[in-house]
Amino acid sequence: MFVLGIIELKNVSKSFDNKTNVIDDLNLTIESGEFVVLLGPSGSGKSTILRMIAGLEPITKGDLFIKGKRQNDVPAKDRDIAMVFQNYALYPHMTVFDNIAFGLKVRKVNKGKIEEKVEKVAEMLGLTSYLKRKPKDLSGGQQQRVALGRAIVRDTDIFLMDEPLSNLDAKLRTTMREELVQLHRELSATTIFVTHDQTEAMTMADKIVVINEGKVQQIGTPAEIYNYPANLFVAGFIGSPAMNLLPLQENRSGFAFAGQMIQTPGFTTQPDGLILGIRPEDCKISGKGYPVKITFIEDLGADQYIHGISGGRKVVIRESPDKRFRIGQHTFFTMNPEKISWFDKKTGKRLEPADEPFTGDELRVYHG
Amino acid sequence: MDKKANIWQLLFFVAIPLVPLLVFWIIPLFVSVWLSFTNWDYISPDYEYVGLSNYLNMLADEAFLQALGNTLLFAVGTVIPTIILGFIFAVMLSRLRRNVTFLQGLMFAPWITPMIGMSIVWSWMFDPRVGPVNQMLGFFGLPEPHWLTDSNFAIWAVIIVTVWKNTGWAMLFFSDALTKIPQSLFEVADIEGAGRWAKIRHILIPLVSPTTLFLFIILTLDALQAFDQINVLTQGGPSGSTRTLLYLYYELAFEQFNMGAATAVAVLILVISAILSFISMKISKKYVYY
Ligand SMILES: Nc1ncnc2c1ncn2[C@@H]1O[C@H](COP(=O)(O)OP(=O)(O)O)[C@@H](O)[C@H]1O
Ligand SMILES: [Mg+2]
Repeated sequence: MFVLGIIELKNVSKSFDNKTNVIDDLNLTIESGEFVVLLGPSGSGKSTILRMIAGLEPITKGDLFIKGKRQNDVPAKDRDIAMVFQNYALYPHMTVFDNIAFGLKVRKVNKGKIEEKVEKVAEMLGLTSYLKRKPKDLSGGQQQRVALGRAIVRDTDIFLMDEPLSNLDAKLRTTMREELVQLHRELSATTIFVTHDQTEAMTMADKIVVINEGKVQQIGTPAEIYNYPANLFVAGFIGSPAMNLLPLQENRSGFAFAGQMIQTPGFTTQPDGLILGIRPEDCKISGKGYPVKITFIEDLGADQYIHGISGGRKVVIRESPDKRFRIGQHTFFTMNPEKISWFDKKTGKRLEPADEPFTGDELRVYHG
Repeated sequence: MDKKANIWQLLFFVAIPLVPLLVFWIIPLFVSVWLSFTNWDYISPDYEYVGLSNYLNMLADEAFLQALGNTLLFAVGTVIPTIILGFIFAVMLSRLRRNVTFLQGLMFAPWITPMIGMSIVWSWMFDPRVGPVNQMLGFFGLPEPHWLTDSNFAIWAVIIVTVWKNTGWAMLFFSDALTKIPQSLFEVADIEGAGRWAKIRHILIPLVSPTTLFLFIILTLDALQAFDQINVLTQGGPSGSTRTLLYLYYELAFEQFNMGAATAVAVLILVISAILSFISMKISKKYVYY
């Protein structure tokens, strides 16, 4: 079989009850050295995918290949993968040193070598002065580093991380994000990082895999996912605040929103109803355009988000902070026509304009 | 109204729970200690103070030294196998998915059955001719000892019965301790490449150590106080080979009516118990993880 990536999932399904598939016919190729983020809401099956790759969960159907070898029947301990758990899973009865050294110890690496490696990793993670402590005497951030250290020390080339930052406070999370990316560069190992936090995904990933209900929704770079969401789920899930998704009325002469005709391009496939997607930053309050009544103003200092009702729909518009608006005000907004995404109302899939030929290959947008 | 309880109210509430402790424990304790310095014969109204002579006689007494040795053998011979077997059964049960509660109940049953009734059944089990134990040994062509009447085997018979009774109980505590270990600790071990034995040694055993310590102390105290099974199976015989300190106390007090000597033994049992508990707590600082 011709295998490209370091990790390949081919038609992988997982069922816990032999009735419903928690993971449904998943295909995924991860290339060597990539930082891949599995992104999806809680319960979408991200952890299950990771655990199948690690060997902690048997694969119900399909094949998993690592470095070209089928792994379905290889026990976790022989897969030579490192994993960081959400709750860190540190051994409470062992010191930091012993926690980091555990994998080497059970693999019978000699003592001198263990010491040398653990000290090097501790140095790298700033844990040197904590090596004799027990996990309960460490802060959350330090515990998280120990868990990382345990993964790094073994010199494996595949790292799996299941929401490793979600137990940290916001500030530490931002720092750790940077550090993890830095670490990834230094180690040049393949990393699969699971999160439900889109900011984490956008800032860290080489490649994002958006998952919902056990199915891949889209695979692409952060920019591709943000600018060209493959379907309504991705459009609504990525971005904060989310993309405005506005169903259009169809009449004899075309499509309309809030009583205004909307210029639509021709599509490669004939849509069955149309939904217009536009991000808040691609809308502007203006003297003309679509009527909107302001219901709420969210002032974030650097920007303000104007929430309003237009055509019976909620819309959010990003505006510069110096402009003054008030709640209850009736005004208008315009959209940047180049930034509009179009979705088929029936299938929820992204529609590509026919006159503007951009090939799927170029952007590697997944039309799953 | 004054919100603080006054001192008399406080004393009142503290004193009530103290009454049973005082009546059933502290006073008898002091009376026992006092009796061990006398020659009271359990019946007559008068007795004399004899100083340390009960203790000195005891230490010179062959029967006492034999009982001390028996107690030691009995304690070690019951406590260690009970803990090891309880742990092994708990680990085995934790691997099962079905029938766990049923099997736990089955193993726990000996603990709730009265020792006297069980010991009677076991004295039949150990019968050299018709007892199932020897029938089975014979089936495998092994020697068939006279369990309860051979002084080399009697103590082992009593030990077997005691271990059999206590193992299910110990297992239940270990089962509970095992369920409290997060699954992810074993998953990490899998990923880090630990085999079965490494997992048991580096994770299971250290993480159940508080339970092990607890069982060690309780089972040791229980061993020092073992009476029913000895009384039914062997009455301390043959030739004193199953006479433990507590059984010696019983014989001295209620067969020989030598209350002074008996209480001296009782006080010694108490001292040994206290020392053992103290030592275990000390050792635990180093080996037990909380
Ligand atoms: N051991 C299990 N037994 C049964 N169902 C499970 C088990 N683990 C996960 N699931 C189910 O699988 C789905 C995906 O779970 P999970 O992979 O943990 O999601 P995520 O990590 O994306 O939050 C959920 O519906 C969850 O209830
Ligand atoms: Mg999860």
